Amino acid sequence: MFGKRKEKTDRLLIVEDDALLAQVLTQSFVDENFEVLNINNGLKALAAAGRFKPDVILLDLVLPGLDGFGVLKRLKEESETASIPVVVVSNLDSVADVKSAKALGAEEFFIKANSKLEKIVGFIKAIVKK
Amino acid sequence: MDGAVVLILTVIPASFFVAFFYQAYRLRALAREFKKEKVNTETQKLRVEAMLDSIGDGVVATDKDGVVIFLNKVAEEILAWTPEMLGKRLGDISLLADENGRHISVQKHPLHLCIAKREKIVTKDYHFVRPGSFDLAVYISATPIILNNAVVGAIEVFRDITQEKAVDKAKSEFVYLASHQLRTPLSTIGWYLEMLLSRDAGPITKDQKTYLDEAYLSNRHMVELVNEMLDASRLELGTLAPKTEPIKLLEILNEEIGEVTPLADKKQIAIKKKVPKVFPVISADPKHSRIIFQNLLTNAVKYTPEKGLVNVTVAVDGSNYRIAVADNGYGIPKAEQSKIFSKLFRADNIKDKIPSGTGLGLYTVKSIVDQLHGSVSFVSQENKGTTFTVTLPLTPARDAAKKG
Repeated sequence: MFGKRKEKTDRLLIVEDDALLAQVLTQSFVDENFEVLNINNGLKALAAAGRFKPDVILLDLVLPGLDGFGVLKRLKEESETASIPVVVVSNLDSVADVKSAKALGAEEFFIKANSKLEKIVGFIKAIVKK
Repeated sequence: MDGAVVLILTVIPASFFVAFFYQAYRLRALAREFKKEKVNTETQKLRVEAMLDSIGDGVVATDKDGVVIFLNKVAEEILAWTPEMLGKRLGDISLLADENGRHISVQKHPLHLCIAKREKIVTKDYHFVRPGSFDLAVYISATPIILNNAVVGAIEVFRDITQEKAVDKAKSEFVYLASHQLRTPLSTIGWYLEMLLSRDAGPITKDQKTYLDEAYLSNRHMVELVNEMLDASRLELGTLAPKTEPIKLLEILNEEIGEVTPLADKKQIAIKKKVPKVFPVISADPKHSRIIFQNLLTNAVKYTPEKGLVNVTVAVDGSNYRIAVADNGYGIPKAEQSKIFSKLFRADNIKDKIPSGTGLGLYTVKSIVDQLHGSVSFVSQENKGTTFTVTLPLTPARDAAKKG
């Protein structure tokens, strides 16, 4: 379904339920030559991760289906997705939320409203270079 | 001779009778008085009991060992009072648990604690555990009765606060949702503007850049406002106890000075620091300390013209510590000084010079300081400068034993 992997492009799975936000995020990564898949539901995201095999995942926390914490936990539990770096991008900001996300294995926690898009893009690019 | 005998035989008994009747009369008068007093006292007692019964709060009075000697109607109902409880200690007949469900021992029961410590004890986070009935969240205030320097008894007043707790829960859920809902469209706008400004959608003219910059600035301003509103809201949820941990205050100060340094450098403002070589590790909520430093430092740098000076001092003062931030900036006009801690207030003399500012910073600082039983004050002269001083206790008041 996702076809042969394009040479030299990195795959990014964006799990975000706000359509407008997903659009601007996707565009900024397409501009950087990423192959981007957009999923707006937590449960569907788990299935998609298994099949799309992204190099990195951008994960929102407030999601329909299964919330971001649930998705993150299951991603890290499944052997085929456990090693994919996950970066949380959310507008929740409590110290408890950030701690939980990092404890569950998130590489980083960006608060959408407080973070520049270029900072997030830069961080993702640095992760896939490794 | 007969006459004298007759006199003696009549006068002596007569005087006895007179004395007797007189005493009887006096005794009856006294008895009447006692009866009147007894009725008065009983009436007063009934009046006091009626008053206590019509109070919506539970009132319990105990002797110096905490054994119950009186309860009003509300207390009887809430504690499911039965006659077997007579002669027992309040801690033994009312089971308390904290918000985590952990049972409170008899010694830590507010009433027994107030007798042991000889001071008023107030708790807001306990609930009565009532087997066969639902738990009741209560506000408890226990005060010892001290006569001639000895504790002779104690009084506990408690109030059902289920409603207040429900309102607080609703407020924190609102804050939680608002942080997400308000910020999402703000993020979207911000990111699209970012894309436009970095020419991702093609080249832009000079005028277009100017308009886009303004829009972006406004967007950032709104994000800052939402952030500060959320911080202030979270503080207003009065019953939320600070999450304290051992913190290194001076480290936090250095980090916050670092955060404000880029802005200070841009304005060529020097920030000088005077702190003790050694400062004790204190128990505090690091977020509170950050907010205090952040606001005082940002204000000092923002409201001081170029090439100005900001001085930060931290010092221990008895059982408190003091944080002072002084600047030689625009100052606060005397006519507006009384409003400086109000929500959303910004003084007229800086509104035009520095358009960005939410007017929430000092309100938030004062809320935090009040909650920690500290104090915040300032001295200021227009165009000369301002010094803000925050004083806080080194050891926070224990949640379960706040002084009245």
